[in-house]
Amino acid sequence: MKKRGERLFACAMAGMLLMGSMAGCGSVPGSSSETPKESAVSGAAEASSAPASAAESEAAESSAVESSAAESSAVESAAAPSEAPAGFNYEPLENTEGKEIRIATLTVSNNPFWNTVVEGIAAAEEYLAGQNVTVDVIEFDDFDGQAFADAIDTCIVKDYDAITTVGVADTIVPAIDKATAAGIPVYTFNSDTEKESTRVAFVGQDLYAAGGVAAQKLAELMGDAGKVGIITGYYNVNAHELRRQGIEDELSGHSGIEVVGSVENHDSGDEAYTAAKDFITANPDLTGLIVTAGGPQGAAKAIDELGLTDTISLVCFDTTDEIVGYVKKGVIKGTVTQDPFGQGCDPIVLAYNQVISGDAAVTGKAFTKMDVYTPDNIAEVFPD
Amino acid sequence: MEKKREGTEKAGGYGAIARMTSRAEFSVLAGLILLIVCMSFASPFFLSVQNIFNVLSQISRYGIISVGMALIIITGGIDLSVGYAVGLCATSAAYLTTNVGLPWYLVLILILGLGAVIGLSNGLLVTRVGLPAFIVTLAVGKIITGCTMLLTSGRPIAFDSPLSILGSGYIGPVPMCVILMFAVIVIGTIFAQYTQPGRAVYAIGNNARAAALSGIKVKKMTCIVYIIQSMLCAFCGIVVAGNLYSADATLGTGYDIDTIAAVVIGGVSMTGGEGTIWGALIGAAIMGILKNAFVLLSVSSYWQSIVIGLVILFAVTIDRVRVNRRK
Amino acid sequence: MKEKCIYAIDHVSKRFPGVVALDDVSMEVREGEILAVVGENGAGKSTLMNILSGVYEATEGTLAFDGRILQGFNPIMAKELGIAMIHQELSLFNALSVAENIFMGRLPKTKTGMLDKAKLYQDTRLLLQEVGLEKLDPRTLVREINVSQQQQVEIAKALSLEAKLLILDEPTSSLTPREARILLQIMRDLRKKGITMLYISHKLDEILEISDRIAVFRDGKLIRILDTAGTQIEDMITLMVGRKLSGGFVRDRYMEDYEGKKAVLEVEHLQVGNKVKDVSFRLYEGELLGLAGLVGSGRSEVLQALFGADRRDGGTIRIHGREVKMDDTGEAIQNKMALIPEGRKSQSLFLKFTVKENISIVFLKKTLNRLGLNPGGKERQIAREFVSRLNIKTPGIDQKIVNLSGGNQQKAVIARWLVEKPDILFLDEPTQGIDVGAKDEIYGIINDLSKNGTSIIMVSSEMQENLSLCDRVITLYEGRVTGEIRRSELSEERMMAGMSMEKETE
Repeated sequence: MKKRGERLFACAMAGMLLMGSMAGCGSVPGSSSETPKESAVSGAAEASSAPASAAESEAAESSAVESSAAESSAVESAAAPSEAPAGFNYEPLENTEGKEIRIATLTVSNNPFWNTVVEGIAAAEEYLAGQNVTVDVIEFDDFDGQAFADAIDTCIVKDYDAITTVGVADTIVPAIDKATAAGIPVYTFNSDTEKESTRVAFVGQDLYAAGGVAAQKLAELMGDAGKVGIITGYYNVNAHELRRQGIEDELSGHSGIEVVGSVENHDSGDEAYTAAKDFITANPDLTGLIVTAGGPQGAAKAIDELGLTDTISLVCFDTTDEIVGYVKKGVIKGTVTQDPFGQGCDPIVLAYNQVISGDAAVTGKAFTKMDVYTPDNIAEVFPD
Repeated sequence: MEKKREGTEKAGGYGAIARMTSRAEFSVLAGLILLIVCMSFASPFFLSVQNIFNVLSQISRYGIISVGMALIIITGGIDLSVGYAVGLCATSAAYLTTNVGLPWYLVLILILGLGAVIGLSNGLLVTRVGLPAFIVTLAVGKIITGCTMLLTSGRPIAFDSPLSILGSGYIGPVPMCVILMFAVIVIGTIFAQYTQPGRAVYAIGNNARAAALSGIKVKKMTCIVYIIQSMLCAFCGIVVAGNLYSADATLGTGYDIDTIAAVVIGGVSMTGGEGTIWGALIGAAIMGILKNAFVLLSVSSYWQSIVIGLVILFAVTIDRVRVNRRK
Repeated sequence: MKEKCIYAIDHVSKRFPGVVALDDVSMEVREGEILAVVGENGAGKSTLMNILSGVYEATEGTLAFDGRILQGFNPIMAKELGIAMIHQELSLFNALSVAENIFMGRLPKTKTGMLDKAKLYQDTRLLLQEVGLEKLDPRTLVREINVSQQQQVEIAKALSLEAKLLILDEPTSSLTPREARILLQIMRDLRKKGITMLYISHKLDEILEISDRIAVFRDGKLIRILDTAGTQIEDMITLMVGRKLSGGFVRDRYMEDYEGKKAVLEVEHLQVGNKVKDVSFRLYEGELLGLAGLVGSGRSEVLQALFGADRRDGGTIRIHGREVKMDDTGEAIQNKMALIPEGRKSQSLFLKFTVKENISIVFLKKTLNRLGLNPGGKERQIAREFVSRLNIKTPGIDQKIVNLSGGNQQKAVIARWLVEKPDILFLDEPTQGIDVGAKDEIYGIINDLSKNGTSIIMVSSEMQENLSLCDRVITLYEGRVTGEIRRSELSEERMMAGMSMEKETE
């Protein structure tokens, strides 16, 4: 009797697993996401939503990446069979030998910002499918260094040709090095590890500089005087830390501005909401708030509810739908972008190119475009 | 009750086999084998040597702690501070090595001592003050995690020490942490099944009053079990830090649920008094393989949470069904 | 007494996989009678009661209640028909009041839908009167009243449901003689009102006192229904057991001459909480001393404190003349003391362990080899030795102890203390809830221990046990010693006197 119950449990578990794996095959981002977008097949420009069109206009403006202190070399532009889709910052090479290439991409997806990244990944995947490339995407709902490290280990076992990953924490460095030693090039995007690793290149924002830019904008809005509260994502995540450092260093150069404190909001809108309210309660004369990572809409909501839009200036990063909404409303007075779409597709393209040509066209830091959007110019990029 | 139950006590060898197959662990082992078979069909990489050692290394993380957790749950208690303890001990080991510069043997002794202190606090609060273990260990865990944050200021600390071989060394092709895990499991099994204090642990979980009346020092044994657990957490912290060559405050998150799940899946009843250490290993193996499967099969993290949650639910339900059937 | 049949049982059998619990039972329960059901453990009494109350479904046969054949019978239908079962383990809610328990599920409500407390308490008071609990406040929480009163509340609840038939399963097993008398009186009163009662009990003297007829079961079969008038206990026992048992156990040797006997245990001014106020006595080498008293007199507390299981607040203990601390049970065991507590399910059995593990638990060190490990061989040997020595009926030593009958479980508990012969043995209700045959065997074990030099203190609520086994009896009343009776002067009256009042004048 007992045995039967337990056999049932084991079978059910195995059944669960098979079900999960079948779902897994179908859960590659892009085919089952909540926002149904028609994914373009190689070449055709897609313009069905704001972020994509933003990327399109950005791509139209500059074909090369702006970088402040990077050592990026010129992009190799071999003749491509068809034009790279909108939003791609690098031309994919042609897979003339037609050999099968497999790339693994490890990404986070715990808030709307990542949706755009995932779109970029999906676009690369769709396009490169025509070049006999498969891209396996593994999503994590947290910046869990251990989980990423384990996953990279498993990717080594699966013998991928290249790996692209978010540099969530230093804990993944040994895994990255193991991959490189096994002949698998690794690219990081969005965040880079603080510790040096053997990754080929980092595609993402010049985070420190971005922090400085944001702080500059905030100081300007505050008239160079007043109290500022900093709400940062995770102290542990290098990307967030670099921005925060950039902010603090820039603000320290403005003698009239005082930073009253900094807290973590773990990328959460709810926590940002609470943190903002707490800052305002503790400092009734607060005139500036800056959010380094995800969830700034929470802080915006707090300011809006308290009717302090005219008194407090809020500056943040990225352009999710909610952030755009608050920028248009004037509650968020400035936001610094980092081309999330590019962060999704570019590392994959670069990795693919390296596998084809045998050389890394781009090494070191490949900073993505950085723009500052305010209530004044937001409508150009995100029309109503 | 007049019902005479047919015993599994038949003559000779048949009796032994009948006894063995009716045990909970055997069914779970069958489940594990089934899982392995399914996985080997689902992914060609599953049975590769590298993957097997990878999975074993990943299992060793909570494999080591599940020995302690099994003992505690067998006595009828629970320990929710495990993850936090691992985090504190890992970061403390890194801190003492990198920032303070102590030699490795001092670091080892101090960190194991830290584990003992954590375990002692848990044990005393549960036995002397009489607070429920659930609350005590949760609260202690929260205090510990605060200490970890203070210690690290949220930043990771590098850990490069002779002790790192515990986490990243190899003996031949076999990772050191896997060997350590098996060693701990073997010692734990011997302790639980073949020693006097081991039997006392089961007795306490079965009927603490009867255990006291049989001459067992219930309070002392309970404290000892908590201390063993936390020292294993300390050891695990060193291993994990050695594996990653660094430690940060997020290390250890989620270990408590994973370990409890592994132990319960493996046949240790939440009501106490039964279950084996090696059963916990099977449970840990199932959890580890499931996690490995997610990546091998590129399953998104949303599915991961659902499946793991369901597996835990299954395990606890089966446990309850087992208990009820006996009544 | 009317001869109308209220419950007709016609060729009823009940089979479980591998065992026939009831074999072709046919009988009629007469309206308004008290029908006693007796038999050894395993004879089929509980199975029959479960079938009559709808819990089990008969494999064969029919039941007819009040003239109606029962189809699709279940406990809910039983309740509607007026059949109520009062279990051995009570089913009240400890944290709720008496009134709420009685009217659970049908609490009276006011027009606005709120609980009508006034009506609830008033209705409850009326019911409590019928069961002799007039003085009990309906608002009292169940956990604040003792077992006897809880039982009366259960009966009140059954009455409130207009029960026509009450089935009482061992109702007096946890009551003192005085409380049992109260219950029997309630039953008489109910009988006058025309309520029928089925009464399962091991207490044969009570049965003779209260019942009208006696149904004797053995091995699942109804052997005979006796008319109580004219029946003797030996008649019942003969039918139950199938053999003649000597009435009242007789030991090989009783201690009559205390000249020159040394005291192995001396207790002076023992004080434990407010249960044991001032107890002093001596236990002489080789004697069997009875510690008699009503429930609540502090008997169990005395034993537990002497064994080091509970903290004592005052008093000295001397063993072989040497004063001891007795802070913990380990010390007691080192001094070769043993305690077999009452309530084996809660205090002595390890229900998830096997028979072997239950036997070896105290002296586990005897199973260890040189390395301090227990490979199992010695443990099995010890277990087997005692299973045979104490005649423990079990398919094997690896059988889970839950599967054994009460008597055999108790023998296993006794066995664990015999692994190393104790000098001093404390027994607390050693034969509670055990059938006649096993009781006899346990008396034999006690006899042998005493013969071999173990000094014993026994607490028992059964007069018969005290009368037939003890060399000397000390009576307790409300935490104080009220008297000491030598065997030569031992009688039920003298014991009752000491148990129910202050110090007797000698």
